[in-house]
Amino acid sequence: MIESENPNTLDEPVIQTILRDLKMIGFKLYHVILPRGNAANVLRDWDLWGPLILCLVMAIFLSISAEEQKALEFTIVFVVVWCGAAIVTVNGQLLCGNISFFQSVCILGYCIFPLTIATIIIWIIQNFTMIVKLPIVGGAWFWSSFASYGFLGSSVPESRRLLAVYPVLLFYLVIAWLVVVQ
Amino acid sequence: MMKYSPFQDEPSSDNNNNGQNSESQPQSNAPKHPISVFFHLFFKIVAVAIFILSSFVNIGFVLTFIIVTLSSAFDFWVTKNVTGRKLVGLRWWNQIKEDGTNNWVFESVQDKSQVNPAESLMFWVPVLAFTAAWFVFSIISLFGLSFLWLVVEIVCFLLAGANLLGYIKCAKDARKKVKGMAQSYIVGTIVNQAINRV
Repeated sequence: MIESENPNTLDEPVIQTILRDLKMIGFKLYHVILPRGNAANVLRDWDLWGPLILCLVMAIFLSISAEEQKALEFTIVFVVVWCGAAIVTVNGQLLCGNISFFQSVCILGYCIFPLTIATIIIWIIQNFTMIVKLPIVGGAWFWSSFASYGFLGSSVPESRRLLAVYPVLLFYLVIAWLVVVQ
Repeated sequence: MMKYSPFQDEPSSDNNNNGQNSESQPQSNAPKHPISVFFHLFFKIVAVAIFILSSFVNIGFVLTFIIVTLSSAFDFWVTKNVTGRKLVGLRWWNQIKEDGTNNWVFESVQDKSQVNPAESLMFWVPVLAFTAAWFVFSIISLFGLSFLWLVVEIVCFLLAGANLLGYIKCAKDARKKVKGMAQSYIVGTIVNQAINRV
C-alpha cells in the first residue's frame, strides 16, 4: 500500500515511528531549555519519556551520593516527582485549567531538566558545601519554575493563576531541597 | 521461525483446540512478523525475569528498579506503536483537544486477511497475561508491606494496563466499524476469538 493513499499510520516503517517520537522529545527539551511563547505546539503531543528519563537520572545521581539507604533515597525521588506532578496537576484542573492530566504531568516532568542538570553538576564537582550548592540549585529551581510557568500559566484563568502557580513552585522547591540535602 | 519456537507452544495448541479457523490458521497467507513477535515478548519477559531474579540474586534495588522500569517503558512503546499494528492491525491514540479534554482515536486494517490468527493470539495473550502478572505482584507486595517494590510494580502495572485498555477499546471499535460496513465478518471473529480466548 502506498503511504499517500493511506491516511492512517498502520503501515508506516518502524524507523519513522521511532524518529517521530525522538524528534518530539528533542523539541520539548529545547522548549524547556529556552522557554518561549508558543506553548500550544509543545503541549499538543504529550509523552512521558522525558519525565521518566530525567527522573531516573536524577534519582540515580542522588542515590549514589547518599551514604546509606540508597534504595530508599532512589524511591523517594521517584515517588516525589511523579506523585508531586500528579497532585499539582489535579490542583490545576480543580482551578478550571484547560489542560489535560497527562499534558500537565508531561510539562512538569520535562521542566525538572534544570534540576537534573544541577544534580549532575554537584555530583561532578563533588563539592557538598552549602555555599556552592545553594546558588546552583537556586538557579535551577528558578529556571524550572520559569519554564513551567510559560507552559502552564496560560492554561488557568487569570484570576486564579497565583493559586495554580504556587503549588508548582512548591513542587520544584521540594525537589530542589532533595538535591540540596544530597 | 525456529528461533521463536519457545513462544509458539501455547498459542498453537490453543488454536488446534479451537478448530474453527483451523483451515486458515496453519497456512494463513497473511504476512508473518517474527521480529515483531520477538520484541512483543522480549521486553515483557526481561522486565518480569529481572524482577523475579532480583529476589534470588542480589542485583541491588536501584539497578533492578531501573532495568525493570525501563524495560516496561520500552515494552509499552513497542506494544503501542509497533507490534499492535504489525500483529493485529490495530493502533490506538489518545489525543488532546484544544480545550484540554481528550478523545480516543482508533485505527484498524480493513483487510482482515492481513491478520494472522496465530499472531493475533500471540499478541493478546501476553498483553493480558503480563498485566495480570504485575497486578498480582502488586497485591503481594501490598500485603507483604514491601512498599519500595510496590512502586516498581505499580509503574509496570499501569504501563501494561494502559496498553490493554487501549487495545480492548480499539478492538471493540474495529468490530463496530466492520459491523457497520457489513462487509466482512472474518475480522470480527478473529478479534472476538482472540478476546474470548484471552
